[in-house]
Amino acid sequence: MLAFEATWSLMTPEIVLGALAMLVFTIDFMTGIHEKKPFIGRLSIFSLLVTAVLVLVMNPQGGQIGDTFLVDPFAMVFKLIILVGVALVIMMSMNYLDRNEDIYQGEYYSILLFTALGAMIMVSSADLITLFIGLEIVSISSYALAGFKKHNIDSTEASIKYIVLGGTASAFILFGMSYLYGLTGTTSLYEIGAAMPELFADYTVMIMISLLFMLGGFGFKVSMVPFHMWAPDVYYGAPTPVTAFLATVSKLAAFGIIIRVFTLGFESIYAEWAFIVATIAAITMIVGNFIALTQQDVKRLMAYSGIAQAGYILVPIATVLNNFSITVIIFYSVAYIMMTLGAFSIITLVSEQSGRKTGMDTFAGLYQRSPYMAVAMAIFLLSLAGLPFTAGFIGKANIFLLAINGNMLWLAIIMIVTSIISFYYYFGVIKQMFMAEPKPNAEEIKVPGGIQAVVTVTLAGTVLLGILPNLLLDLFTGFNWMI
Amino acid sequence: MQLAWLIPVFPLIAFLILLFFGRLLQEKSAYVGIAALALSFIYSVLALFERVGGETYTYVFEWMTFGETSLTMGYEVTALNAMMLIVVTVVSLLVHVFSREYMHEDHRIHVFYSYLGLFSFSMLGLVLAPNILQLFIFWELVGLCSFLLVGFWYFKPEAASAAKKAFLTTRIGDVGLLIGLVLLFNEVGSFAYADIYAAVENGMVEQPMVTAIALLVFLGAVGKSAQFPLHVWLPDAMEGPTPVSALIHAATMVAAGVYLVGVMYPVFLASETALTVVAYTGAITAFFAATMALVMTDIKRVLAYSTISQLGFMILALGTAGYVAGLFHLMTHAFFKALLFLGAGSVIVAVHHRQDISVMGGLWSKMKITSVTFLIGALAIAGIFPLAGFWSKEEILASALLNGNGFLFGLALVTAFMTAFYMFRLFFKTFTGDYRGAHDDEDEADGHGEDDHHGEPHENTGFMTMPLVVLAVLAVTAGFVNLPFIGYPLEGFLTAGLNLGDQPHGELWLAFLSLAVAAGGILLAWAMYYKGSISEDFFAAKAPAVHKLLLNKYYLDELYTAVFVKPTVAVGRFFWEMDKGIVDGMVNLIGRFTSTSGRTFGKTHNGQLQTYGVVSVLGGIVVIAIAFVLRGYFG
Amino acid sequence: MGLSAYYDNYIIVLIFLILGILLPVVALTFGRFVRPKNPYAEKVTTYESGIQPKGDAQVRYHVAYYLVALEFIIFDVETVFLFPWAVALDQLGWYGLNIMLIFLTILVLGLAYSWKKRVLEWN
Repeated sequence: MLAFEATWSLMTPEIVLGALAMLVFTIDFMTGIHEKKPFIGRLSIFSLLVTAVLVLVMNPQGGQIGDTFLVDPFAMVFKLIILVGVALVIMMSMNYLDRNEDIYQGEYYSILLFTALGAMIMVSSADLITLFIGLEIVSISSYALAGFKKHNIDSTEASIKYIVLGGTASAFILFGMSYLYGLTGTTSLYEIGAAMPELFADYTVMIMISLLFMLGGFGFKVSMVPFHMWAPDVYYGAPTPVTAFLATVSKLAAFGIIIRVFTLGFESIYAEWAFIVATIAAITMIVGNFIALTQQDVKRLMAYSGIAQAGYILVPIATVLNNFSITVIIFYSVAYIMMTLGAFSIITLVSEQSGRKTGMDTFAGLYQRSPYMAVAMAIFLLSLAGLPFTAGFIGKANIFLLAINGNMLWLAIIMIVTSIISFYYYFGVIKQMFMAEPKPNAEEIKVPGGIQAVVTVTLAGTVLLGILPNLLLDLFTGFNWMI
Repeated sequence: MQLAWLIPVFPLIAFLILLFFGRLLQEKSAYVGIAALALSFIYSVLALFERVGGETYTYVFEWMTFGETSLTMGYEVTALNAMMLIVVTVVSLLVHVFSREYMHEDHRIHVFYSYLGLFSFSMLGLVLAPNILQLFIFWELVGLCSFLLVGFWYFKPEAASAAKKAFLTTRIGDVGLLIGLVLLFNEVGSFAYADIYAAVENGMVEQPMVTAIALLVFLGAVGKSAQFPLHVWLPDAMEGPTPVSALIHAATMVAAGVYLVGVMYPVFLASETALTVVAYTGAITAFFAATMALVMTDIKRVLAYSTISQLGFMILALGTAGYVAGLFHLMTHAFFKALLFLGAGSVIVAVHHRQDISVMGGLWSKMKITSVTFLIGALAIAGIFPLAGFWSKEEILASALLNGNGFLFGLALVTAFMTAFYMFRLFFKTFTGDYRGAHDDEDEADGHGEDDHHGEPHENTGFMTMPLVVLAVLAVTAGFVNLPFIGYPLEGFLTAGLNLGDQPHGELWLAFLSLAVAAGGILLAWAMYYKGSISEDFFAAKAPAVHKLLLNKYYLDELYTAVFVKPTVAVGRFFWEMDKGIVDGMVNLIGRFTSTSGRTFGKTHNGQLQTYGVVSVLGGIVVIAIAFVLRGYFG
Repeated sequence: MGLSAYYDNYIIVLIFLILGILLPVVALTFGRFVRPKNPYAEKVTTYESGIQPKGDAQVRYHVAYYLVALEFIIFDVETVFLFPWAVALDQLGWYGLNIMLIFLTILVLGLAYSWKKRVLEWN
């Protein structure tokens, strides 16, 4: 049984965030339901920042509660990514919420805080149950968020689809976990990992079924092929800031647990599953990039682009599983969250200014309507495509080199070729922004402060990491990610 | 040379200033750009002088640590890039000056100058790079700038699509280059030129691998330098403003491919196969592009095909061990081709933004400076003694003859003949005879001012003629840096410290032969287009099929669309249809199932969603099945 | 150890499954033979004293039913937790009390929320 005397202070950030989320939630329903509540938004951002500071200052040396809850550099960096990501999502949402009367503002903020809490628990867990609870907190909150525009058919459809398919994914995960539990009698990843070589020898088929079902279930969350089909519909229907959340925080947290589970639990049979992940990564990159070529809607395009990006992040996992590949993944995650959130905040802005449409043509002549936003968007897209002097390039270059060093040449070449293809569709948007006349009724865009701030922060991050990647790489290389 | 890093920084500063304050400066933006480039030019000259008297200077710092390896950035002044710096800054500076007048009617002139600044920065950065990764980074940036500048007049649909085509076609080459780099890094463990040279010369890289690397790197050069079969983007890129064509698509960016082969030359020397491929690609490109230039009627397109052809010459020289010959021609060509393009720009302004040579003519008396300088450029490119083109082309012919074979030499000779012919066809049709555009009131599409549309052509102001004169002087004198009589000084400079083998030199008869061929071409053009003793349609009437084939550029665009573009889009569509189509197909299947069982189970099923789930479950099962079969768990 | 040993664990499940099937079958079959059987028209009507059912069994319920049902289940589960906690309270001590108080606070907040959102009102 879990000792009561465990160092609970390790959980301080989670506890504080939970309490603050409750507070936000209470303040909201005590002050009425329908009003605009910018102060709650600010309070939420404040809560996230307080939590981020706590993550940094409490227990920097790490530790663990039983075998269930870990605080190590891996968890801490992922938590910071999550907290900053959610804070940016809230910042970009504030104006959006003011313009959409049918959204209950307070609930929106508190649910986002709960997702952050769930994601933090996810990346810290070393136990199947804890992990699953974290995952479900994120998932169930996301279902609600996707349907937040409740009088909008697309949004409702997105929510229903996400619930049903997300439920299927959870079932996959639980099914896979049940085999592990059945074979080992424990839910601790440490014990499972220790027993793995012997178990694999005895129960090869069962272990593989368990592994693949869990991979499939987590694969839903990161939208890897063939578990990606929810992504375009849900991304399209959900309110744009929520789409941003799903594409970044939710996806990266799922990558966090994929890495955690596969490192702690399945590392000893690495050779058995690496090629499966490599194959899935290749298919994901190919399918995502090729389908994106045909898309005419920016949100759907970003969905397929996000699928392709998931493929890129899978490459290091498929190549080798060590401290160094985690460095590569985390660097790419930081780059990814910067450029994706930046791009989505501009998509939010533009679609709000063009009658909530998200077709490619809404970007026509953005350069004339708001030069800063157009240039920023171009940089985000180029970074996603992997053009030099952007964070995305460095991230991709790291992955290339890792794949080459790990003798995964074919995978690296697929990655190069598909990312060349990706230039084509990203340039479609850029061409619209710079090389098309604005529509006759389009007016100058007034950029709200929140979006301005998000774009500036993410743009600075994207460019800075592109020029001086050692700022982060040096720091990361020094970490011993997992204890 | 320690300050060489400032050379690209000046244009970058100009770019940033114009980015933020361009709207306020408007037409004055030009002076910001000109000042920046003038500074860069001065520093380049200083760097060159220091380099002539000294050693290669290299400065690197650690940019990115990657596991045990670390990647570096920095700059380097070698003999080759000291020469390139001069070429780039001179042409860029003159183009900046020229554009002041050429673009002054455009209200987005500040944007134009900011792009030019960004381009100059990228191009100079490319040249100064001490390792191939940094070169690749700037390589991508110049491509991006080219995209922006070709599409500058985006309201012309051709310009926008030409911009995209240019960028994407060159990216095909970039795939090769990037894969080549990765392979190279895998073999050598470093991107720095010095390490690569050492590794290749010590035979650290095995034979089939070094050929593969050389060919992949060459693919990048093929894309950037518009070599056959990736040359199709360059003629379309002429939709950009003419100064851009002069700077990017004649003198600098397209020459970057040649430069790339130049800096990676030891790798090419290590592979006989790669050199042969390079030589044949160059010769074939030179020949085919020249044939197409024979029939074009758009002044800029003639020059574009001529550029492709001349780049082919350089590549041919490099492929036949004529390292100096290729790079020498790169330099001379930069000057006289920039001159020809700017001259064409001057003409285009004078005839109210028309580019068809059939509506020009008789400009000799109306615009003296443009005409004379254009003639000098045409003589230079044709290879008339003692102009710059004569010296460099003669060396290329020499290396094709001595290190190549009869076929390559023959092809080069025929191309030299055609070059002289099409250049003088252009010259005579544009500048001699009667003006054929006087009463043509056809409206212009590009939105320039209306007021001076119908006047007689007249000479342009000093902003436009001054660069022409400077370039004309260079087109005459640039060849003298490698005169045989004083012992090939450029050759000594470029090859010092490098192990590149003997450079081929022709004998005297070759010089006379090349001169005769050029004169022959000019004479034929004179007879057809000036004297009229041979009908203009003489050849077209003799071989209409060939004429049509040339006019349609060998139908390569159509071929590529059918073979590459459509299938790629089709694959995308196929996957998408799979995503939806499997879904739809199963909806029908399940629809039947649900409609019968639906009454029993409930009414709220909508088919599609279940299908997503079904596909995922099936997908999962397929993955598991494949995994198991492959790993033999069922065995 | 091996797969067979693993599957042996499921024998109990199998036994339960068989028992579960057998029990109603045996009971009903047995009853059929034992009980007297005397059907007549009046006796076989649905609900001797009830109302005749009309329409489909699948009708739409008002959404408020679900919300109330949700509330009910939450507090139902709460009691499930409360009983063992109350029994073991002397061993759990202050720690147990604090934990339960946090748990109850969260539930109460939820109740207050649904109250405020007028879930409990019926109209």
